[in-house]
Amino acid sequence: METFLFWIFAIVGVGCGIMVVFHRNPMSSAIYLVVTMLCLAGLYALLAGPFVAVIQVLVYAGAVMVLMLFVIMMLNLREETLQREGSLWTWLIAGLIGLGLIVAVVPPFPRTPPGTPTPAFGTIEAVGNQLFTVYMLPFELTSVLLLIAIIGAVILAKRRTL
Amino acid sequence: MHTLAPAAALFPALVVFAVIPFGDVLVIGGKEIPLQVANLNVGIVYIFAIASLAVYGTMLGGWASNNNYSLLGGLRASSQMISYEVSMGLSILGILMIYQSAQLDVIVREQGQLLWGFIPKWGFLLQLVAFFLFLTAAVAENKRTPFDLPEGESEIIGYFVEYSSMKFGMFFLAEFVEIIIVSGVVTTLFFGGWQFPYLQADGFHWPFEAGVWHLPHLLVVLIQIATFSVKVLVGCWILLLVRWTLPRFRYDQVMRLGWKMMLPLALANLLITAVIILLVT
Repeated sequence: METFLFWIFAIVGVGCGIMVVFHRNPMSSAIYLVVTMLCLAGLYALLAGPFVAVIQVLVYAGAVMVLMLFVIMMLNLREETLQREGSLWTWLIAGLIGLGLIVAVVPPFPRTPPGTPTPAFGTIEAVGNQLFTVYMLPFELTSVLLLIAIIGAVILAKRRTL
Repeated sequence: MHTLAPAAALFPALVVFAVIPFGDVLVIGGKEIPLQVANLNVGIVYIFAIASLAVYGTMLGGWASNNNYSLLGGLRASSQMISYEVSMGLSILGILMIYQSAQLDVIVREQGQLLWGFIPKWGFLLQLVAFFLFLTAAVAENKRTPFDLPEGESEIIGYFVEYSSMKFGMFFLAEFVEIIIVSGVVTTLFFGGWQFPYLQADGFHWPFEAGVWHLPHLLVVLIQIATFSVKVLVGCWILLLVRWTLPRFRYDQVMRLGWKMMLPLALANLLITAVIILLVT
């Protein structure tokens, strides 16, 4: 059952990821990206990480992509407004870089079968404990980064109204 | 995408109910059956995650109609939903802090305890501000009067002008299912879920050591389910009452209420709850 679900999520996720890149209509691309995010959440849930899975849905599918769609709707981007860009050479170089990335990233993955997680693994309590003890500094830095982004957005908005 | 939108609106409304417990554990022939479809460790967060997907229905509906009025309606609806999601999420954090869990069945079980020996420890007694904030935000999220600017069936053109028959019906079905969901969540978080005052697993335990009235297990479970249903129905009734009582806000008023009043209130409520919990324990 788990393997079956894994293959469903993996195939749908990768397929939609490819469609994000190849679709001409920005709205369709964004919707495909949402489906990819949901598939990733499904994979996290299969990896015994219910909290991370739900947060993936809440933050990426529910907030980030909504804002992206919002921008697309605001600018009213349609298919015909986007030109196909880049020559053959750009495509070739981009493909080579992508291939290099795959070659660099894939081999270091551990091939050993994973151990069975403890029952508390991936729950809210466990993730919270890790986040506020071991990963305290990255957590705080991320919040500072978000704060900077918010302040920047407010300043940009202010300047336009003045 | 025109066809996808109503489905995207209806789907979140239907799947949220999976985590709401409607009774305690039912034991038949030694087999324990929890009266809850999926007991997730992340119960409340799951509800918010799914609820945040509801925006897609309105956005896609507004966009795919290929009509400037419905595009504007979609933008209006989705910005309202995004704004109120924030205060909705913040308002219930106090409840999580008091009951020390995000698991809905644990929250309900905790509400079975008594304050000073005779008052049921229901959420709205401890978190009155949060209750009103959550209810308001949920009504706004649900796009119902007084926050029904996205729809305004007769006056303002909404995101679903171009929809007819059952596709339109699905948008509205989603909305009415959401009423029951909101009522169910409010019942679970603030009104003790399936808890009937003084009723415990083996019968009524009257306060002040006034004796115990034993009841058979099956009857207790039936009372719990009936209690939950009645609470949810009363919640629906109140929501419909609000809908037919209040006039509609203006759009800038909606935004000001959401960002400048409800958000600070929710944050202040959170801070005060945290300080009180720190002082008490």
